[in-house]
Amino acid sequence: MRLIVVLASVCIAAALLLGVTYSLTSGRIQLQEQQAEKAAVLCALPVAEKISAQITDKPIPYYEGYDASGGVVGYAFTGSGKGYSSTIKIMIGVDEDMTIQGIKILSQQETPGLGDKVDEVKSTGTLWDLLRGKKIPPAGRPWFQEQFAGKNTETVNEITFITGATITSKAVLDIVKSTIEEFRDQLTGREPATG
Amino acid sequence: MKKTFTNGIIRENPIFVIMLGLCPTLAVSTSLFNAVGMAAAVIFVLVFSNLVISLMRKFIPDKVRIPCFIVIIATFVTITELFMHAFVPQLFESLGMFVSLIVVNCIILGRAEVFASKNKVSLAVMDGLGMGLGFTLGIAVIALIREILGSGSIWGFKLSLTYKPLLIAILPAGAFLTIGFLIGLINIQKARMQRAGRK
Amino acid sequence: MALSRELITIFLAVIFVNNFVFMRSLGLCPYLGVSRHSSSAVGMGLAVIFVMTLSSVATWMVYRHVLIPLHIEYLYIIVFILIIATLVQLVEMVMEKTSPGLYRALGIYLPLITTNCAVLGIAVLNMNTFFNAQGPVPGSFIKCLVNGIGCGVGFFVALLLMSGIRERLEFCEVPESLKDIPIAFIIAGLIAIAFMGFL
Repeated sequence: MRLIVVLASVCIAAALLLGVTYSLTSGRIQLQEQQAEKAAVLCALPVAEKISAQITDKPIPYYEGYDASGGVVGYAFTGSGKGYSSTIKIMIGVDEDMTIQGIKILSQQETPGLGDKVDEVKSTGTLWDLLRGKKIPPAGRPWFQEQFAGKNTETVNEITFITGATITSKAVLDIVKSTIEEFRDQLTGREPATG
Repeated sequence: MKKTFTNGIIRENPIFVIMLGLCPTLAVSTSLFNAVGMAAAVIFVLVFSNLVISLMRKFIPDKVRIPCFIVIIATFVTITELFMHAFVPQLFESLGMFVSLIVVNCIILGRAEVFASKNKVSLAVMDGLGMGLGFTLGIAVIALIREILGSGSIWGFKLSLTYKPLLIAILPAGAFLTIGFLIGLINIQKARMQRAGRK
Repeated sequence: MALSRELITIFLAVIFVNNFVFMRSLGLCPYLGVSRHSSSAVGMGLAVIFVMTLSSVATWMVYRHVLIPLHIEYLYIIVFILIIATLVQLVEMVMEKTSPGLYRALGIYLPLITTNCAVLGIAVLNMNTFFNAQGPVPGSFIKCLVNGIGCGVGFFVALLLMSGIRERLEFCEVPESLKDIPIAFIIAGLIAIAFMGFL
């Protein structure tokens, strides 16, 4: 009997402690996720001055991007799919013609050194530069993702794959293409109703 | 007290001598940043669970001690995970599920069973710190080797812009080879010291 | 029949392409200990397949029907590890009655399945892969189950390979400092390189 009492009280104490910790941290975690999402939307729609709140009443939730005068310049939404060894989540930005404005890979756990080169940023300085006090220019965006900008669902097939990471590269390509097509259907399917 | 502390660093170094806690070691040691981050998490969990288990050692009946230890350790691991997610999200992203796997890191349950449940609080905390630092030393050495060879960088800063990295070093195969050779080297050193001691 | 094709892919992938031991560095502690002889390797391997399968099912059910509805997903570490610990206890009791020889042969390694990173690892991996922000993906139960069985089989295959090689190694001239553990790691590294062929 005593065994159960001790074990149960340990469990209850643990659950209480964790409940407290969770309430302390969950606000911050949510805030960070929202900030990361917002940053990703801006990556995907670089010309947008303002972003709407997420429109969630459709199957594919999306953001609208506006220019300074309030005109719609594009839409941003996430697509995900199976990569080589993980699910890849991508934020995709398109304009009214479904031309890609930019993509940002939100999460992936592909093979280090091969598949994860989809996130690789070319280094702009070395450790020795840093130690010598030389100023290192800020690193740019991953080259693999940059090449998507300006393409549409036809021309995007011409992107350069990563050597040795064909499956991961193709997965990113397929996720981008199919999500854009789904979004296009959703957008055009909706418009006749509102006129 | 000091003896308990240094024990964990050298004589009973968890990675190279007792050989516990290998899973996260080999998987996470792809870069120095990840290794140190993981080690910090492990030290936190190790010290606090040793502390709580030592505090409660007279109250926990023998038959349910393992489940109790596990719940206590799991609690601190969950706390670590939540705080890491909230305050160091990039570390949380790189370590991924290995943060939750700290709970089955044999070092922590091992020390709880072997030491913390049988010694007073101050010793238990010292043991936790010592073992944690020993773990840090081990995983950092492996990570340094793997990061230099496999990414050509230290702590994310490239050593040379033209070095073509040895990819295998940052893949699991490289982890096995690295630690195999390191332990081999340590054995050579130990044998040499034994021979010198005998003379 | 897209689902059955997907299931076969999951099954084969987790055995060869994403083998837990060689490609994800999980399940290493018992791995080194048990892979000296084929007989204990086989026994341990079967026990692991059994525990992994059951725990995939049990953790899926608890996660889906208890943790998500109550919004206490963050307690998953504690809950999963307790489920696994209970399952291992059950397996131990059953094995003691039905095949006491195997029970004695496995000795300490059986309770160590609880702290086998691979067992908790597959539960966490299932949770991350087959659940997204909106809940379980379609067919997640059967996918988790197949993933669990496949993972166990992959571990079993890894154990068999290692023990086969290590048994033959007993008759070879291995340098003194590399004997036993270091050479085991190096061999694991070489096997891992071979497995990379599946990449």
